[in-house]
Amino acid sequence: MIAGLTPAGWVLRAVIVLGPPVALLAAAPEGFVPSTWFLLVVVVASVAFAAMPEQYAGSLALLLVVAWWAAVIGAAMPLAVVVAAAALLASHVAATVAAYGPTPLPPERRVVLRWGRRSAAVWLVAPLLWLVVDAQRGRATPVSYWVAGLAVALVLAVLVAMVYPTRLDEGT
Amino acid sequence: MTRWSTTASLARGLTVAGLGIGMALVLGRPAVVVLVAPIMVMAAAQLRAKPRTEPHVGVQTTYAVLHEGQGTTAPLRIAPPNDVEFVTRVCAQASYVALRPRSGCFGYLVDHPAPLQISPRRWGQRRIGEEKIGLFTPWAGYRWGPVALVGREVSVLPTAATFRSAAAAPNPIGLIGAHRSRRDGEGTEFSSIREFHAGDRMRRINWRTSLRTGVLHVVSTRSEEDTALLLLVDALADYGISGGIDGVESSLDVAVRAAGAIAEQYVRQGDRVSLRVVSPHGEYVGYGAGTRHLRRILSQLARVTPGVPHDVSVDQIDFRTTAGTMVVVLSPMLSDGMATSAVRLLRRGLPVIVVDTLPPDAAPTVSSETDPGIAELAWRMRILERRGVLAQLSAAGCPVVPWNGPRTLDEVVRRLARLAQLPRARAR
Repeated sequence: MIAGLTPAGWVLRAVIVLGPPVALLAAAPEGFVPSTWFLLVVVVASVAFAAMPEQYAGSLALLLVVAWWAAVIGAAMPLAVVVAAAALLASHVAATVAAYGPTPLPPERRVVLRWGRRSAAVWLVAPLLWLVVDAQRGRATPVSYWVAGLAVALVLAVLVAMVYPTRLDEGT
Repeated sequence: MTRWSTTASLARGLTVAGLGIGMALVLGRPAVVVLVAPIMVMAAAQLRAKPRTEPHVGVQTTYAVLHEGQGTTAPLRIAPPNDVEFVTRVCAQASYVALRPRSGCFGYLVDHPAPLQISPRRWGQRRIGEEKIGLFTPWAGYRWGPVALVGREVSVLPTAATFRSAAAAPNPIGLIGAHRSRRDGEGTEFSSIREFHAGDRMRRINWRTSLRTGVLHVVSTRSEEDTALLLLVDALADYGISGGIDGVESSLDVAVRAAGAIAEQYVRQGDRVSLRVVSPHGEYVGYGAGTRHLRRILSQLARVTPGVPHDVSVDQIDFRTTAGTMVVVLSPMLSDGMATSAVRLLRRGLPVIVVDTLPPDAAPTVSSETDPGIAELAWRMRILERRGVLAQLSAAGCPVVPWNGPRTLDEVVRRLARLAQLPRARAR
């Protein structure tokens, strides 16, 4: 699976491997430290993700991190979540670029630059959301506030797919 | 049927974003929303770039005929390219075909296409352009393919050597050409000063001799004629390893390239050249001259595959030679049949030159079941026998020369031409 990897390919794999553990450890300075065994599980899942970036199974590493944040962080909103979001996104994007072709395919400079710009633009959503939530800190926020907001986000995501139908879909 | 399918990236993005949002909803975790928000936005962008058209792809190589060492490009055409952002090409590695990029695996943005460069490194029939194509939409949410494309067969001609020989052919018997004939005629090469005969041109009169002798004398010249050349290529077996145009040469490499170079050299001089390959297919090109004829010879050389002819014994092949034909046998002389054929042609009074094509470090391919010691011993015995055959051929008046480039034949042909000019005594 790693035979014939180019140096740039190794860098991509390194980003894929490091993303989930970094996202997990990002909150450590604020007192949220994962257990060693869980960290180990995430590292193993990340290595598997890096070895098979074109496989759907790679989602496991990201999901483990998301589940840990949901279970351990609680209702807190540490600034580290922005770093964790960047790490997860970096891993996800690196896997996307790595999955463009077989292992010996070297990532092209223009492609890396384009994805770098895209990632930066997409990641900006995280600090913006964090600022919005931080601005609301101290005020009583009912649970329904979050439920409604997130439900709207989900509906929007579905609508995006519905608004852009394709001729291919009509035929199938 | 559509070949677009969602990528793992889109599936992963939707799963992580969906489950993350679900967990945040159920457990009331605002941090998780922030955590998965970028991935969710990226998934939305991927969905937004959903393809609307079915692309058609095709690879078109620039040339159908190439010389070994030459290169060509294989650009990919995509129609329509609207939904495509990234192209992945994975080319099959064919023997004796160099690719750039070397791995044959590369990708590029569709608005900055990168060409695939192909260069065949050895003569023969080569299949190029066999590859798999994958197309990706913007944000890599959908993938088309990979689709396998069938390549095309390309004739790779032996390398061309531009060279003009200075040696005249030994027995030119033709109509018009560049070689000095033994017969007097209209030419530029001085032959003798003789008495005037009826029909001689006035401008040929040598006044100095005529005044001294009191009888009209004229300057006679030799006529200039073309010659016929038969190239006899021994493709009964291929000894040694071929490393392509830049590497070591096998016996068949030497024979084919030498035949190509000699054919080119003589055709450019205006001589008639014929080719006969001793191989299973028995490639043959009749006598002819001109660039088109040269191309025909080179094309036949590119089709040569080693092996023994099925339908006829080597020493019974009719080589279709005529009087005055010069025969060049390109052979490693490891077959008795080829040696017999050379002697047969020699006895017909034809000038025969053997070009030894056996590389110095050649060794036979030995199967794993054969004892390497015995194989080595057998090979040494065969080489000793070959040495004897070559010595006998030389003694019979058939020069044997190793191939050293296009000028190899010059000295030998010059020597044969000098011998041919000498008066011959015939026993009655």
